[in-house]
Amino acid sequence: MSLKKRGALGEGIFSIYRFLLVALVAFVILGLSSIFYAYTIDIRDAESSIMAWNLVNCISKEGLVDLDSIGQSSSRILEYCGYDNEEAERFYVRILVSDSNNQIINLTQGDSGKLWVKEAFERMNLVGDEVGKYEPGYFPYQNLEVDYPVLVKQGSKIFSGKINVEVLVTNEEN
Amino acid sequence: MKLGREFQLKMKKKAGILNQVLIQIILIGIIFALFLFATADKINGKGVKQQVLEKEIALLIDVAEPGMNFEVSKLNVNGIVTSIRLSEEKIFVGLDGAASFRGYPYFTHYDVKIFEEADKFIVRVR
Repeated sequence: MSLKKRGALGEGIFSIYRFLLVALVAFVILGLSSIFYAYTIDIRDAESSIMAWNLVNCISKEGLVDLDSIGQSSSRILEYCGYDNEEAERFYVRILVSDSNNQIINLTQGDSGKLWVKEAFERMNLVGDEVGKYEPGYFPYQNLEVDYPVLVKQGSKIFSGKINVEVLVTNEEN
Repeated sequence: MKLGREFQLKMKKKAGILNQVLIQIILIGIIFALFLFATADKINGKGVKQQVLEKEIALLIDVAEPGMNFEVSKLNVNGIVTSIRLSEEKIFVGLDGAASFRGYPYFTHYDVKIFEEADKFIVRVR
Protein backbone atom coordinates (compact mmCIF):
# COMPACT_ATOMS: atom_id res chain seq x y z
CA MET A 1 0.00 0.00 0.00
CA SER A 2 1.39 3.40 -0.97
CA LEU A 3 2.05 6.05 1.64
CA LYS A 4 -0.61 8.30 0.09
CA LYS A 5 -3.29 5.58 0.43
CA ARG A 6 -2.21 4.78 4.00
CA GLY A 7 -2.47 8.45 4.87
CA ALA A 8 -5.95 8.69 3.38
CA LEU A 9 -7.07 5.59 5.32
CA GLY A 10 -5.69 7.01 8.56
CA GLU A 11 -7.49 10.31 7.97
CA GLY A 12 -10.76 8.43 7.30
CA ILE A 13 -10.47 6.47 10.55
CA PHE A 14 -9.63 9.68 12.41
CA SER A 15 -12.73 11.43 11.03
CA ILE A 16 -14.94 8.48 12.17
CA TYR A 17 -13.67 9.04 15.72
CA ARG A 18 -14.35 12.74 15.33
CA PHE A 19 -17.97 12.08 14.26
CA LEU A 20 -18.49 9.67 17.12
CA LEU A 21 -17.17 12.28 19.55
CA VAL A 22 -19.45 14.98 18.08
CA ALA A 23 -22.43 12.58 18.25
CA LEU A 24 -21.62 11.84 21.91
CA VAL A 25 -21.37 15.54 22.79
CA ALA A 26 -24.66 16.27 20.96
CA PHE A 27 -26.35 13.38 22.72
CA VAL A 28 -25.17 14.53 26.15
CA ILE A 29 -26.07 18.23 25.60
CA LEU A 30 -29.49 17.55 24.15
CA GLY A 31 -30.22 14.73 26.56
CA LEU A 32 -29.50 17.02 29.50
CA SER A 33 -31.53 19.85 27.98
CA SER A 34 -34.51 17.49 27.55
CA ILE A 35 -34.31 16.74 31.29
CA PHE A 36 -34.09 20.35 32.42
CA TYR A 37 -36.36 21.92 29.80
CA ALA A 38 -39.97 20.91 29.87
CA TYR A 39 -43.20 22.56 28.87
CA THR A 40 -45.24 23.20 32.02
CA ILE A 41 -49.02 23.16 32.13
CA ASP A 42 -50.05 25.37 35.02
CA ILE A 43 -53.05 24.14 37.03
CA ARG A 44 -52.23 25.90 40.31
CA ASP A 45 -55.02 28.48 39.98
CA ALA A 46 -57.49 25.59 39.51
CA GLU A 47 -55.96 23.81 42.54
CA SER A 48 -56.32 26.94 44.68
CA SER A 49 -60.01 27.25 43.68
CA ILE A 50 -60.63 23.57 44.50
CA MET A 51 -58.89 23.93 47.86
CA ALA A 52 -60.93 27.06 48.68
CA TRP A 53 -64.15 25.20 47.77
CA ASN A 54 -63.08 22.17 49.87
CA LEU A 55 -62.24 24.39 52.87
CA VAL A 56 -65.52 26.30 52.72
CA ASN A 57 -67.39 22.95 52.62
CA CYS A 58 -65.24 21.65 55.48
CA ILE A 59 -65.71 24.49 57.96
CA SER A 60 -69.32 25.33 57.12
CA LYS A 61 -71.06 21.99 56.97
CA GLU A 62 -74.59 22.66 55.71
CA GLY A 63 -73.88 26.39 55.91
CA LEU A 64 -73.15 26.49 59.65
CA VAL A 65 -69.69 27.39 61.03
CA ASP A 66 -69.30 25.85 64.48
CA LEU A 67 -66.58 27.98 66.10
CA ASP A 68 -66.47 25.80 69.22
CA SER A 69 -65.34 22.75 67.24
CA ILE A 70 -62.66 24.58 65.19
CA GLY A 71 -61.46 27.07 67.78
CA GLN A 72 -58.49 24.93 68.84
CA SER A 73 -57.37 24.43 65.22
CA SER A 74 -57.22 28.06 64.19
CA SER A 75 -53.60 27.82 63.03
CA ARG A 76 -53.94 24.29 61.63
CA ILE A 77 -57.05 24.53 59.53
CA LEU A 78 -55.79 22.15 56.80
CA GLU A 79 -55.14 19.47 59.41
CA TYR A 80 -58.60 20.11 60.86
CA CYS A 81 -60.02 19.44 57.38
CA GLY A 82 -58.12 16.14 57.09
CA TYR A 83 -55.09 17.09 54.98
CA ASP A 84 -51.74 15.70 56.11
CA ASN A 85 -48.49 17.66 56.38
CA GLU A 86 -47.17 16.48 53.02
CA GLU A 87 -50.29 17.77 51.25
CA ALA A 88 -50.42 20.96 53.30
CA GLU A 89 -46.84 22.09 52.69
CA ARG A 90 -47.62 23.41 49.18
CA PHE A 91 -50.37 25.68 50.52
CA TYR A 92 -50.89 28.85 52.45
CA VAL A 93 -54.54 29.28 53.48
CA ARG A 94 -56.33 32.00 55.42
CA ILE A 95 -60.03 31.99 56.26
CA LEU A 96 -61.66 34.99 57.89
CA VAL A 97 -64.96 34.38 59.62
CA SER A 98 -66.79 37.58 60.48
CA ASP A 99 -70.22 38.83 61.41
CA SER A 100 -71.74 41.84 59.67
CA ASN A 101 -69.18 44.24 61.24
CA ASN A 102 -66.23 42.53 62.92
CA GLN A 103 -63.80 39.72 62.33
CA ILE A 104 -64.57 36.82 64.67
CA ILE A 105 -61.80 34.34 63.91
CA ASN A 106 -58.81 34.08 61.58
CA LEU A 107 -58.07 30.48 60.52
CA THR A 108 -54.70 29.88 58.86
CA GLN A 109 -52.12 27.28 57.95
CA GLY A 110 -48.88 27.46 55.97
CA ASP A 111 -46.15 30.02 55.52
CA SER A 112 -47.58 33.51 54.94
CA GLY A 113 -44.13 34.49 53.64
CA LYS A 114 -45.06 32.73 50.40
CA LEU A 115 -47.35 35.68 49.66
CA TRP A 116 -44.37 37.93 48.83
CA VAL A 117 -43.66 35.79 45.74
CA LYS A 118 -47.16 36.51 44.45
CA GLU A 119 -46.80 40.20 45.33
CA ALA A 120 -43.45 40.36 43.54
CA PHE A 121 -45.01 38.85 40.40
CA GLU A 122 -47.84 41.40 40.53
CA ARG A 123 -45.58 44.40 41.17
CA MET A 124 -43.01 43.53 38.54
CA ASN A 125 -45.67 42.30 36.11
CA LEU A 126 -43.63 39.15 35.41
CA VAL A 127 -45.07 37.02 32.61
CA GLY A 128 -43.83 34.32 30.24
CA ASP A 129 -43.27 30.57 30.27
CA GLU A 130 -39.81 30.58 31.88
CA VAL A 131 -40.57 32.87 34.82
CA GLY A 132 -44.32 32.11 34.86
CA LYS A 133 -43.77 28.60 36.17
CA TYR A 134 -42.61 30.07 39.49
CA GLU A 135 -45.75 32.17 39.95
CA PRO A 136 -47.93 30.68 42.67
CA GLY A 137 -51.56 29.79 42.10
CA TYR A 138 -53.93 32.06 43.97
CA PHE A 139 -57.57 32.19 45.00
CA PRO A 140 -59.50 34.52 44.72
CA TYR A 141 -58.70 34.70 41.03
CA GLN A 142 -57.51 38.18 39.95
CA ASN A 143 -57.95 39.31 43.58
CA LEU A 144 -61.76 39.47 43.15
CA GLU A 145 -62.65 38.68 46.76
CA VAL A 146 -65.86 36.82 47.45
CA ASP A 147 -67.66 36.60 50.79
CA TYR A 148 -69.67 33.44 51.38
CA PRO A 149 -72.75 34.04 53.58
CA VAL A 150 -73.04 31.50 56.43
CA LEU A 151 -74.56 31.01 59.86
CA VAL A 152 -72.06 31.15 62.73
CA LYS A 153 -72.51 29.15 65.95
CA GLN A 154 -70.58 30.43 68.98
CA GLY A 155 -71.56 28.89 72.29
CA SER A 156 -75.32 28.89 72.35
CA LYS A 157 -75.64 31.84 69.96
CA ILE A 158 -76.31 31.45 66.22
CA PHE A 159 -76.01 34.53 64.02
CA SER A 160 -75.44 35.34 60.36
CA GLY A 161 -71.90 35.96 59.17
CA LYS A 162 -69.60 35.52 56.22
CA ILE A 163 -66.44 33.63 55.22
CA ASN A 164 -63.60 35.10 53.21
CA VAL A 165 -61.03 32.63 51.82
CA GLU A 166 -57.50 33.13 50.52
CA VAL A 167 -55.49 30.17 49.14
CA LEU A 168 -51.99 30.20 47.71
CA VAL A 169 -50.37 27.20 45.97
CA THR A 170 -46.62 27.27 45.48
CA ASN A 171 -44.79 26.11 42.37
CA GLU A 172 -44.34 22.40 41.64
CA GLU A 173 -40.69 22.25 42.72
CA ASN A 174 -41.49 23.45 46.24
CA MET B 1 6.91 27.31 -14.81
CA LYS B 2 8.04 25.55 -11.63
CA LEU B 3 6.50 28.26 -9.43
CA GLY B 4 3.18 28.01 -11.27
CA ARG B 5 3.02 24.24 -10.73
CA GLU B 6 3.78 24.58 -7.02
CA PHE B 7 1.06 27.20 -6.72
CA GLN B 8 -1.42 24.89 -8.48
CA LEU B 9 -0.50 22.01 -6.13
CA LYS B 10 -0.91 24.26 -3.08
CA MET B 11 -4.33 25.43 -4.30
CA LYS B 12 -5.39 21.84 -5.00
CA LYS B 13 -4.38 20.83 -1.47
CA LYS B 14 -6.25 23.78 0.06
CA ALA B 15 -9.37 22.98 -1.99
CA GLY B 16 -9.18 19.37 -0.74
CA ILE B 17 -9.01 20.50 2.90
CA LEU B 18 -11.89 22.96 2.34
CA ASN B 19 -14.03 20.18 0.81
CA GLN B 20 -13.27 17.89 3.74
CA VAL B 21 -14.12 20.59 6.28
CA LEU B 22 -17.36 21.40 4.46
CA ILE B 23 -18.41 17.73 4.38
CA GLN B 24 -17.60 17.38 8.09
CA ILE B 25 -19.58 20.52 8.98
CA ILE B 26 -22.58 19.24 6.99
CA LEU B 27 -22.39 15.81 8.68
CA ILE B 28 -22.07 17.39 12.15
CA GLY B 29 -25.05 19.62 11.32
CA ILE B 30 -27.09 16.56 10.31
CA ILE B 31 -26.18 14.79 13.59
CA PHE B 32 -27.21 17.84 15.65
CA ALA B 33 -30.44 18.26 13.66
CA LEU B 34 -31.34 14.58 14.20
CA PHE B 35 -30.78 14.85 17.96
CA LEU B 36 -32.62 18.17 18.10
CA PHE B 37 -35.66 16.68 16.34
CA ALA B 38 -35.54 13.58 18.54
CA THR B 39 -35.39 15.69 21.70
CA ALA B 40 -38.05 18.14 20.51
CA ASP B 41 -40.33 15.20 19.74
CA LYS B 42 -39.68 13.81 23.22
CA ILE B 43 -40.31 17.19 24.87
CA ASN B 44 -43.43 18.12 22.94
CA GLY B 45 -44.88 14.67 22.66
CA LYS B 46 -44.88 12.05 25.33
CA GLY B 47 -43.75 14.23 28.26
CA VAL B 48 -46.48 16.81 27.74
CA LYS B 49 -49.15 14.14 27.19
CA GLN B 50 -48.01 12.39 30.36
CA GLN B 51 -48.19 15.71 32.22
CA VAL B 52 -51.70 16.39 30.85
CA LEU B 53 -52.95 12.99 32.07
CA GLU B 54 -51.29 13.29 35.48
CA LYS B 55 -52.66 16.78 36.10
CA GLU B 56 -56.15 15.90 34.86
CA ILE B 57 -56.32 12.87 37.16
CA ALA B 58 -54.83 14.89 40.08
CA LEU B 59 -57.52 17.58 39.65
CA LEU B 60 -60.24 14.90 39.50
CA ILE B 61 -58.92 13.38 42.74
CA ASP B 62 -58.71 16.87 44.35
CA VAL B 63 -62.35 17.57 43.66
CA ALA B 64 -63.75 14.03 44.14
CA GLU B 65 -66.25 13.19 46.85
CA PRO B 66 -66.40 9.77 48.56
CA GLY B 67 -68.17 7.18 46.43
CA MET B 68 -66.92 8.59 43.13
CA ASN B 69 -65.18 6.39 40.56
CA PHE B 70 -63.63 7.52 37.35
CA GLU B 71 -62.18 5.51 34.51
CA VAL B 72 -59.08 6.13 32.42
CA SER B 73 -59.13 4.15 29.18
CA LYS B 74 -55.85 2.41 28.35
CA LEU B 75 -56.31 3.35 24.70
CA ASN B 76 -56.31 7.03 25.50
CA VAL B 77 -56.36 10.02 23.17
CA ASN B 78 -52.92 10.90 24.60
CA GLY B 79 -51.44 7.45 23.87
CA ILE B 80 -51.49 4.00 25.46
CA VAL B 81 -51.67 4.30 29.23
CA THR B 82 -49.47 1.50 30.58
CA SER B 83 -49.64 2.26 34.29
CA ILE B 84 -51.22 4.53 36.88
CA ARG B 85 -49.90 4.48 40.42
CA LEU B 86 -50.12 6.57 43.57
CA SER B 87 -47.08 7.10 45.75
CA GLU B 88 -46.26 9.70 48.44
CA GLU B 89 -49.35 11.81 47.65
CA LYS B 90 -48.39 11.93 43.98
CA ILE B 91 -49.87 10.39 40.87
CA PHE B 92 -47.63 8.75 38.26
CA VAL B 93 -48.90 7.86 34.77
CA GLY B 94 -46.90 5.60 32.46
CA LEU B 95 -47.53 6.37 28.79
CA ASP B 96 -46.50 4.24 25.78
CA GLY B 97 -44.21 2.18 28.02
CA ALA B 98 -42.35 5.21 29.40
CA ALA B 99 -42.55 5.46 33.20
CA SER B 100 -43.16 8.78 34.93
CA PHE B 101 -40.46 9.85 37.40
CA ARG B 102 -41.74 13.23 38.66
CA GLY B 103 -45.45 12.60 39.08
CA TYR B 104 -47.85 15.31 40.25
CA PRO B 105 -49.10 15.93 43.80
CA TYR B 106 -52.80 15.63 44.59
CA PHE B 107 -54.66 16.53 47.78
CA THR B 108 -57.59 14.74 49.27
CA HIS B 109 -58.64 13.62 52.72
CA TYR B 110 -60.34 10.52 51.32
CA ASP B 111 -58.96 7.09 50.52
CA VAL B 112 -57.93 6.76 46.85
CA LYS B 113 -57.17 3.45 45.15
CA ILE B 114 -56.35 2.46 41.57
CA PHE B 115 -57.70 -0.76 40.02
CA GLU B 116 -56.50 -2.12 36.71
CA GLU B 117 -58.89 -3.87 34.34
CA ALA B 118 -58.32 -5.29 30.86
CA ASP B 119 -58.91 -2.06 28.95
CA LYS B 120 -59.01 0.65 31.63
CA PHE B 121 -57.83 1.91 35.00
CA ILE B 122 -60.42 2.75 37.65
CA VAL B 123 -59.68 5.44 40.24
CA ARG B 124 -61.90 4.82 43.28
CA VAL B 125 -62.43 7.45 45.98
CA ARG B 126 -63.88 6.25 49.31
